Amino acid sequence: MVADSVRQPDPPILVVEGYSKSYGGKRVVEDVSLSVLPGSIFGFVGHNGAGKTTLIRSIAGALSFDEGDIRICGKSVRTDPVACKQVTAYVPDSPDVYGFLTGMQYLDYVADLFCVGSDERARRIDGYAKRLGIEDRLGEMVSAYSHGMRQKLVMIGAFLHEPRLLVLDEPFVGLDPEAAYELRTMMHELTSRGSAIFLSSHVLDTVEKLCDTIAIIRQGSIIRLGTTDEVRGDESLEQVFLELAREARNG
Amino acid sequence: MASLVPLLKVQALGAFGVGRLMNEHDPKAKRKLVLAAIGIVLLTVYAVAYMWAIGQAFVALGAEEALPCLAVATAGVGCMFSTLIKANGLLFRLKDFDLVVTMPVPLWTVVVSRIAPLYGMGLVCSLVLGTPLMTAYLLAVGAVPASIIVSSLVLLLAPAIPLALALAVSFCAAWVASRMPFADRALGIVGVLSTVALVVGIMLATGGAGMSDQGDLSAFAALGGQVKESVSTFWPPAAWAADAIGGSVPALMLYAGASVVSGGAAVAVLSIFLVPMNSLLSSGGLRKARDASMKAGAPRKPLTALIRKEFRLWLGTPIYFMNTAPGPVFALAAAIAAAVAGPEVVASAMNVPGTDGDTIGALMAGTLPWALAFCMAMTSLTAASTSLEGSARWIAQTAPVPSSTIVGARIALNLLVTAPVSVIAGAIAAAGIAKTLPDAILLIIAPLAMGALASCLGAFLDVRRPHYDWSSEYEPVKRSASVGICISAGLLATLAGAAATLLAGDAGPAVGIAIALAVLVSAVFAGRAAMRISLQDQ
Repeated sequence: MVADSVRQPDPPILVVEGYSKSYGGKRVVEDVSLSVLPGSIFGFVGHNGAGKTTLIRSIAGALSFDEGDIRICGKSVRTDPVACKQVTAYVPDSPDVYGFLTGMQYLDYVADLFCVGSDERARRIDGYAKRLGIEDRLGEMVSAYSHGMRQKLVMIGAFLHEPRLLVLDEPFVGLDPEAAYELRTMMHELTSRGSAIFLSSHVLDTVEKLCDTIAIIRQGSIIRLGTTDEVRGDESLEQVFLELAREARNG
Repeated sequence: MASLVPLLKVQALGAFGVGRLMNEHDPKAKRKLVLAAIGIVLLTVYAVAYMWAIGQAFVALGAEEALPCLAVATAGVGCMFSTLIKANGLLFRLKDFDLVVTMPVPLWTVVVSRIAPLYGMGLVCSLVLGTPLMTAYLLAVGAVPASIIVSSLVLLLAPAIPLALALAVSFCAAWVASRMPFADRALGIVGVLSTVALVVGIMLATGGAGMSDQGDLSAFAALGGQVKESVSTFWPPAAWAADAIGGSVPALMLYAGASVVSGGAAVAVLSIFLVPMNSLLSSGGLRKARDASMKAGAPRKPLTALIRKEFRLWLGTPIYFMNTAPGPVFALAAAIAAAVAGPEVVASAMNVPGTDGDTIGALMAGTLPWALAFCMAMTSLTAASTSLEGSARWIAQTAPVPSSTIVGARIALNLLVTAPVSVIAGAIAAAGIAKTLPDAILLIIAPLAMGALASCLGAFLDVRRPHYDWSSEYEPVKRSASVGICISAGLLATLAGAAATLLAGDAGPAVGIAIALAVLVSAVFAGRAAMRISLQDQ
């Protein structure tokens, strides 16, 4: 199930082929294939425990997998993980960050790991911190941050190196409306520069508005994949999702 | 009152993994929990036997009058320690604070349910540490029913005052930490200095006793009085308890009254002020260093950045720092003491018939390198560093650097701590006691090798089986298998090295150097194996 787009001739930034993952003998994700094109935002939705975070963590390189392959910018996560991570940024569903660092120390650490130069890091940190309203709090210890502030900090860290692929797991949870708006703008700006975003969210309304391609996963398998218009048809994404859930329950 | 029962039940299930043990279905995990439970039981038996032996030693010396004081003080210290460790997370800065305070139950029931496990741990200290001493005393003086009842009451109430004090200290420490950016580091340094002071103090006190006129039984009998007096000065409730057991009703009233009032006061204060106290702790907006940079720093290489981050983790996690920093301090102190005092002074201080400076010098040349080595074997930062990533491990897992670089940075920091100290301490000791070149080499290479083993073996064990799912840093630092195995391996290697060096006679230094080199090679293999393990979750 590969989502192709005739509008974009460029090779996909992310390709997942025949991905499967088991935990202790129990198959939680089965034979998932999808691709994400440059400049697009891919929405990945499903119920709790469907396998979204499992796939996302494998794409980000945090979790091993059993079968299939994941390629980012043509490189395999299996065989060339460091090259894949260099062009990827990941924002987890729970923004747990080292409490013993200040916000600025964390961002410097991330910038060092991604080899971001002096001028770029200063400019980007300053710019993104101002947009997300956290510029005055970067000298404080992360342990004193609220959930939303940690989310903003992780978000700045993710945008610092201009990733080719941005993987977001529930990015809007805990953000105030202003920051959520800024994040959406930042996402569009990033894709306009040719990067791709892989977004998982339960906020179907946001997914519907933001994403140009959507996949719905249920019990470890993709049950619907296509452009947003193809997936929702004449209905809202929420109605489609609920109908699919009902169908699955009724066998 | 009815709401207290379910709250207490939840706390009981959460304590010591009871709930997990009851509900765990994975046979492997269950086996692990059962093994851990057996380990705890064995440790408890050992502690009881040890305290009983101490009690019997006091009785044999005719110093039994000090035992009730010691029993109450020891139980109190144990209770204070456990409360200081657990209060944060249980009563202050608790993760489920919002959930707890919005429950439709009186706040005092929440406070009581949270203090109950702390008091329970205090009672365990009373039972394990205090009861053997008290039993030895009662048997020695001839127990009567009244003294048994009073003794039981004393041990039952022993945790109350320390618990109240520890709660106050714990809140103050949390408040300071919430207001000062580097309070955690200051706390760690103070902890290390206190540990060193405690150990040196005990050694000096023991040394003083050993240097007293041997064979003078009246001196031993007087020792009981001195100990009682010292403990009473340090902890007055112990003196009240001792007098109460001796038959003083006013002392009993004072002890019981102070215990009940302090325990009640702790519950009352927390019931009234739990919400504002926690609000005060969570309003961490002031937790900003005046000189903390708000500007981005200069770029660094990934390895340098990783080592700096590991260093900040070490300094910024008090329990981690306190557990690993004393080793190098002890090594330097021991080396300086040996170099300054020299074999002659040690021989004279020990006053052992038939020994002279040369004999002691030979003994020191054989044992001191391994004493320094053991200090380094205790210094395994890496045995907990991977686990300490906890829920923030995604940062390392998704960083664009190989796992080998990340693990290598952890090993590098450990070596940056142990290697220079090994060389400096070894050189100082060599200047003071080494008679030959091999003696001097052994004094440097033994601690160096053991520091390398602690660094590399610790990394291997912790990367292989990390324990990320912790609720307090105390768990990976103090209760993890990797730390226990790493220190035990270091201890065994040290003992083997010391024994071989001493038994080999004139060839001792050469044998010691060979063993140290073997340890060094093993460390290299362990380090390489650690760096080959992926940090990805499986």
